[in-house]
Amino acid sequence: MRVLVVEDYRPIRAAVVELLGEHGFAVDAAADGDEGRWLAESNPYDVIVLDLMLPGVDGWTILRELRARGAPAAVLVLTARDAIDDRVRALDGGADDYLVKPFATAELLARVRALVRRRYARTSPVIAVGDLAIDTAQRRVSRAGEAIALSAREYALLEYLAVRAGELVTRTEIWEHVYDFRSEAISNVVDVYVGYLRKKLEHGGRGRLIHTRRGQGYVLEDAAP
Amino acid sequence: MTGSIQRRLVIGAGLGLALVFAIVGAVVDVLARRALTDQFDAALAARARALAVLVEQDGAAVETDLDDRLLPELADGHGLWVELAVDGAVMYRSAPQAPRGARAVRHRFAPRQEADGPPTPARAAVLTVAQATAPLDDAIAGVRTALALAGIVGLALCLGVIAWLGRFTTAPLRRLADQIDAVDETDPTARFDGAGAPAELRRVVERLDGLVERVAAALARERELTAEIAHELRTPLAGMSATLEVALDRERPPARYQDSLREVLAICGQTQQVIESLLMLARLDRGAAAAKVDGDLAALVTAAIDRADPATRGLQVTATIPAAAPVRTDPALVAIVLANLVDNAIAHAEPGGQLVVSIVDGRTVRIANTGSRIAAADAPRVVQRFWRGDRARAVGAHAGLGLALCQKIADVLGARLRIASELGGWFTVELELPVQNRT
Repeated sequence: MRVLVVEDYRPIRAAVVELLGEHGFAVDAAADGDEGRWLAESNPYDVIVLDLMLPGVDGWTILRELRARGAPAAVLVLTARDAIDDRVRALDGGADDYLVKPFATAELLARVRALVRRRYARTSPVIAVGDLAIDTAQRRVSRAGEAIALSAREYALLEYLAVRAGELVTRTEIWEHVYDFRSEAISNVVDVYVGYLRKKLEHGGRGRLIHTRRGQGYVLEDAAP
Repeated sequence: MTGSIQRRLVIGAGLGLALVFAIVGAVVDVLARRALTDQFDAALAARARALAVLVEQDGAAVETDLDDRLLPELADGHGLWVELAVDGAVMYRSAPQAPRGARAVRHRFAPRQEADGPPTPARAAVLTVAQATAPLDDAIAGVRTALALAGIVGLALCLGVIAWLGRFTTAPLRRLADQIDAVDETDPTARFDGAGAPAELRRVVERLDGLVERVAAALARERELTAEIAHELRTPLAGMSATLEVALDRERPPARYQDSLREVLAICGQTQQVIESLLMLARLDRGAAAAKVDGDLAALVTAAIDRADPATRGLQVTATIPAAAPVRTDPALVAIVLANLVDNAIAHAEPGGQLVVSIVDGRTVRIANTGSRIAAADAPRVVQRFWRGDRARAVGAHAGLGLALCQKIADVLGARLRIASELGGWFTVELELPVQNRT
């Protein structure tokens, strides 16, 4: 999942970017409102962690524009303002969640994960496709009860395919939701990783779950194409 | 003198009116007594003249028809005492002694002189008519009683009216007092109703309204400031906790832990600066005064630039500072302002941009940087506390209240702080120290 962090205070920005990155998210960061707005407009983020008090364009404006555009990204407002009025204003203004500084990093992580679930219209942290079970809270994958070890990147890829289970996912979409700007743009990196993932999932003769649609993309589903 | 207005009014009026009534009463009493006495005497004199008719002096002989039988008729109930004396010898006396406390009138007879005869030897004939003053005394007593009664009743009525008047005129005061009692000083909208107040109270009510408004405004500012302070301190706190939590999230190489610890230490330092700035602002708010010492503005500016180290952001620095610029001011406060302004300019400028510092007319310091992100219209708001665009909040050694502190210090120094900006262009701050009175 791809997250944008817009926060002008460097220590918090750095900590949040590192935190989310280490927990499997593809993270982009902006230090001011202008950069934040530009990034939000240019990329389809799943979650945007947004500080309200920003130099340049302020957080409220970015939020308003996101909603006006109908962007599907879930927004978690991160701010030091904790008055009821501020919370109500932010939530009514289109934010999906509100977290006050200082915050516990564990809570931030949990809320971002919850927002991802909501973004893909799921209620449970566990995604089941056939005998595949993905616990998105624990980041654990199993088939028929047997655990499968995946690298962070592989897991991220699987998770994205899984939230879109049954839908055709293009390579571009995978690229945009699973990779961040820091990743190198290798032309067939997506295919390569899908290959890795397939190998691990189908290890031991298990049925195919990731199906290729030639020239279009991939689908994660239990049935044969 | 304390005590209610009403009581003072009634007591004062009571004493004053009592005095007035007493004086008037005394005067009326004296006049009445004199009039009555004169009237009495006049009547007596008339009676004496009437009786004098009964006395004839013919040369040396004096004859009279006065006798006891006549007198009761003549006296006709007046209780007269009559005595006729000739050359000191009593010819007639109606009673052995005049009644006690009587008033007397003496009538002297002038002998008839023959025009052409020899002067006849005169014989001094004196008719004394006296009458007891009982009726007079009664009349006078009556007048006195009437006066006393009138005085008391009048005083009572007057005091009654005054007491009522006192209540009537102090009613607006009582109403105002009730309003004051009812006011909730924490309610920012509480006001006093000056509409029904009399002219004398209107000024009081207006001042009171003004005071309440100022108190409410001060309370609101204090609440706002408390909230802003909490916000300002939360940010570095969040930075520290987030940094530490992420560092502890998993096993990390020692070097990484050291980096995190250094980061947190740096944030601690910034927080300290914020707190110091806030304390200074609070002290200045309470009215600390600035010192007045001879100093050199040029030296202060140079020190500020050196300390701030603009080289870190690759800025081109141009300093137009005279060799010396003597000023009389508070060097410590000026140093703080300069440090904040220079740090701010360095933080605001784009990397590789320009920083220009100069001293104009010997007492004004101008600090300008390129790469301004603030529109011209927003320039004056930059000195508001915690204005969100103040990037110095998160950057630089003087993280915290930067320009708001500068404005406050400028006020205390009697200096002017001017800010101008063009979006994308120059951001210019001028600190103009007050005119130096060179003696």
